[in-house]
Amino acid sequence: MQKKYFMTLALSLVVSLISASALAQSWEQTQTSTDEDLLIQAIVDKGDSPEDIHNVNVACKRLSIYGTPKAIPALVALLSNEKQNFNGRFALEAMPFDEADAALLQAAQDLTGVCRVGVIDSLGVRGKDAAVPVLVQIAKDDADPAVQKAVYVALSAIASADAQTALLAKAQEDLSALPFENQRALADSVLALAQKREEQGQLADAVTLYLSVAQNETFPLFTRKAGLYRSLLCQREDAIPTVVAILKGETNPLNGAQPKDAFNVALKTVREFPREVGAKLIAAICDAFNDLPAENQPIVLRAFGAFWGDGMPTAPAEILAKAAQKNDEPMLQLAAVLAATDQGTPTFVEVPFEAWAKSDELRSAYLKYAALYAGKLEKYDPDQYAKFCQELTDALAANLEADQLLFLVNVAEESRIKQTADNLVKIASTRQGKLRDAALAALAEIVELDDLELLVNALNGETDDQKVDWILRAACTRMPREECAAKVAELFAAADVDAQNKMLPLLKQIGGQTALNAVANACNGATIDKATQILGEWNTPEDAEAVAKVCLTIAQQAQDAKYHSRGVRGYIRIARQFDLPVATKIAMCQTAFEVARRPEDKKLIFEVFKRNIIADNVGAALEYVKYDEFKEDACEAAVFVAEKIHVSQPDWNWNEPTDDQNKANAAKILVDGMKKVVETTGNADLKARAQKLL
Amino acid sequence: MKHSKNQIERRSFLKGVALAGAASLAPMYVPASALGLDGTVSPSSRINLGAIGIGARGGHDLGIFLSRKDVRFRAICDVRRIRREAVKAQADKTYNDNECAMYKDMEDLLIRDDIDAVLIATGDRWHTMASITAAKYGKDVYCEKPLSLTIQESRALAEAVNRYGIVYQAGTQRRNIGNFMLAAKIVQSGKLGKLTEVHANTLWPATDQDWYPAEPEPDVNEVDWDRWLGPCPWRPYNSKYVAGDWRGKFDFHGGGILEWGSHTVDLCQWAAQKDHTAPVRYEPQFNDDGSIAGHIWAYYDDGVKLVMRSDGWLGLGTCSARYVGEEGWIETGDSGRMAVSNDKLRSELKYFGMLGTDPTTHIAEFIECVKTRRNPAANANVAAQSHIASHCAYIAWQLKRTIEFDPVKEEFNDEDANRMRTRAMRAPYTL
Repeated sequence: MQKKYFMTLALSLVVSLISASALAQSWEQTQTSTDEDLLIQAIVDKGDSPEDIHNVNVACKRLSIYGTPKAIPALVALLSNEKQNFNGRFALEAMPFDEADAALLQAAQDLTGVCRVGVIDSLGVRGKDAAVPVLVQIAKDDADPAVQKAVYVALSAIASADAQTALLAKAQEDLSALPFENQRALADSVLALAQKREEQGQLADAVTLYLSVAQNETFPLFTRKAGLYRSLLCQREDAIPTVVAILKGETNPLNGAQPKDAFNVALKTVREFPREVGAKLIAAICDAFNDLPAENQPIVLRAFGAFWGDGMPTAPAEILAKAAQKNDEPMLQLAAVLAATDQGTPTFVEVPFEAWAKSDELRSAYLKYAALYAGKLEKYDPDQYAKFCQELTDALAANLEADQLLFLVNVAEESRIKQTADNLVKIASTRQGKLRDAALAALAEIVELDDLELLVNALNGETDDQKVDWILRAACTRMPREECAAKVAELFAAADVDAQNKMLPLLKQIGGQTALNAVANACNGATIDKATQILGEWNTPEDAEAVAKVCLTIAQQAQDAKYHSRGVRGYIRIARQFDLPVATKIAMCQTAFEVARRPEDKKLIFEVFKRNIIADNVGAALEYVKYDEFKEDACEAAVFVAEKIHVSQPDWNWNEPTDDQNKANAAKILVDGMKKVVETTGNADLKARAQKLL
Repeated sequence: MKHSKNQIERRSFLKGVALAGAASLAPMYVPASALGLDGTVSPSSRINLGAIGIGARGGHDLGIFLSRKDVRFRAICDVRRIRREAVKAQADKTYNDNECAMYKDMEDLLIRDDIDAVLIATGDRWHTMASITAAKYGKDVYCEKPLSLTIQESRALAEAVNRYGIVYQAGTQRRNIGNFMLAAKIVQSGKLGKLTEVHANTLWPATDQDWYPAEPEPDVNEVDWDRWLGPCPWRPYNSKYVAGDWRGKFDFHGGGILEWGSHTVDLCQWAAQKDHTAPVRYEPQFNDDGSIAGHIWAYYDDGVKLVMRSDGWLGLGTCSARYVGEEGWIETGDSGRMAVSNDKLRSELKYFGMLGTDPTTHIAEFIECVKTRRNPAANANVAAQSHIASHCAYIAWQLKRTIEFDPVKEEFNDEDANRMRTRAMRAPYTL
């Protein structure tokens, strides 16, 4: 009672301290203020109209960062209003003061319903142990399920010894009459508390808490499974016998639940034990592997794959190798291959052809595994790798079934084994459909610059332009750029117009000066349409100035309006998109404006100004208000940039004198600019926006 | 695992190929779902999916889930009637039945035993709350990014996911897209030399406190406005919010760093092998005229620099990332194209025709992980760290000063910054 009286008194003092002559703050002013008195004024004696709530909301956000204990009484006064409760909590919850704890604690006792729920949540977030007795008492006195639930959550967040005692005591009561939502919340709160103990290294405590949920049949099954899961992980090595027994179906710690629920939980833990425990667990499971129910063996085997990466324990290769041979158990085979892939098993796990040839999924898994394996051989055993490459090359030349050959071609592609190139060319030229496509894709990954013609020749007769484009790009992507461009330019010069048009995108993809020269030369005659289009999409930044030059020349010299416009747009795009000095961009805009013939092209320069949020661009944009046709676009761009500057620095008063000359210059540009907009624009909205900035 | 030469013990798989005879077994399709490891995914059935809050991006994701034979979509929860009905129509058309259930309250969907996993694609304000709620019901979660609006939410989400052992995939799909994967691999293999800088493509950071004018609140069955707001502060209804115009509003959005940083800072953390931590120092940058720029420089404890910037990219597409080492650099973006500093690095490249915005392979990995219980690439632990880095950067930008951060304690050396780590939730919502 005494505390309540004090707070009321303090609130009235705060109110009286605030100057009565102070003007009411709008939220726009409030959002930049760090003046605590003004912020407090913005929240005192407010109702719950949308305007009041908005203003209070913004002020409370500021107080959450800048508020001191002085603001607390005014914030507390908001807590009893359902629509303002949040705002008061937003500030109080973040304040690092004991006074904020005391105020929230008092409010938790004074309030009811949803307002009390919110305050209890804030107490939980703040996590002070002193709140526990009050919360326990509230839970006894207030039967509101929402309040009860909030108390569980807050106690688990506070996580002190007293909080733990209180939560466990509640969990041990007869909970059958508790609403489902509260059963779930209570179980989750105990689990969350246990998780904190686990993080603190108090594993025995954590196990007790986890098991109190896992073994309580009143709690929802998904919370019980979580309790068992974490309790097993907390027990580390001691859990191994239990995990194995569960996998074998010998025990079910989730009394009352299905054995499969415990099985799935145990299996999940296999992946997540620390590596030193994992190694022992894997060994124990392998010992028991043949005793596992047959339907569960593939699932367990697959789980071994979780231990991937350097130094991690693995399942013995013999188990995987044996499983991979079992053609009558395809699931086991697939599990073995997937596990071997995940683990990087050092011994090759062989799957008989008759199995993988019949299953897309198994073949796909096996291919990935084989390619990875080849990569490992290359790194760790060059002699074996050389033999592997030779065997693969020979096999590609052998008279194999299409499925077998396709697999080998894919391995060659994935492993980028160069000596297979000749045989791949033969396959590409003698086979059709998927096999030809695969051989072309493999060649694209394998051929070197000197062999590029080999690939181009292999593509002869190919009618699918997209395929040709893909294959050539795949090859050129990894070749030395200028040399590759020179080679393609050479091929380009010798090609017919149709082929040239197809090669232009490839030149853009390669980039660089050589490729650009080839495209620039193509900007006339029969290839002008595609070449000018390609220039407008050029995207290697080191070519920016050179591309701009080519585009400008086209803009200046092209008679055809279409290509002139492309030149202008391509030129402006360089200024808009590439990283050039602001002054350069402004100069380019001026040039583009002068060269452009169509108004819609000229207007594109304003997009360049809007890209860089800097005062210079406000000034640059407003240079164009002298042209009647463009004055509104210029004003709009200037206001756009100025607004962005204001939003990012709301506390920068442009009218305030400063010793920083750069900042003073920028402020002058902004103020003069907005004044100019106000004088110039005929757009009322734009004028208002500019005035607001002033 | 490490292999030494004498550990390699090869048997010839080629021999197996060459010796394969004409004899073959009957064709047999081996469904991967047969290897499902969680009781909720029966070996003989497909994964049962629900969805919460489906708009434009969610609709795109959902289309991919619906196209998969190993997924059966069961139910939609949305606070908007028009979206509930649209999704139901889409699902029922796919399956040629009338079985897709509709809910307004996500807990009515989550309590269903026959739902294994959920796709969450609400507005950002709901991502953490919906994901944690789903985790507490034991459901696996694919949630669009960003996963959180604050540091506190990021941590709470990761803890809930770990507590329940669910599979969680943040919708940061670039972790499963070829060019981004290859770029990270090149960095991690040391081919750039010692890594010195990583660059993340971010957007202009600011958010605002504007409210739209009040409009009459629709019937709760049409749009449940209170649920739409969820844990966010109350404000009057305006149809613009519901139509998607909530981005850039502080209450609903984490700003432009997080908007793309949830992807690109995440890519940088991954490539730099910093998935377990976050930078320790954040420096907002200023223009010559003293105004704040959109760039933030951050530093990891080993000195590697993370540059978050909106401009100066090579034009390789949105959400670009650049990795710089002492011996070269690599940059890539959503176009799938990659640029490198020298021809030696070019020889490592591969052409990928997939756009960075396409979540197909990311969703495929999620499904695989639901079946195998493996942790996916964008799991809650790694996503939480990259989100925390983005939140720290935005806090530094808002304060307009350099701040230091302890990634273990998740505390700043700055009291104002510490007060920005959380946002209260509107009662009765709580993490």
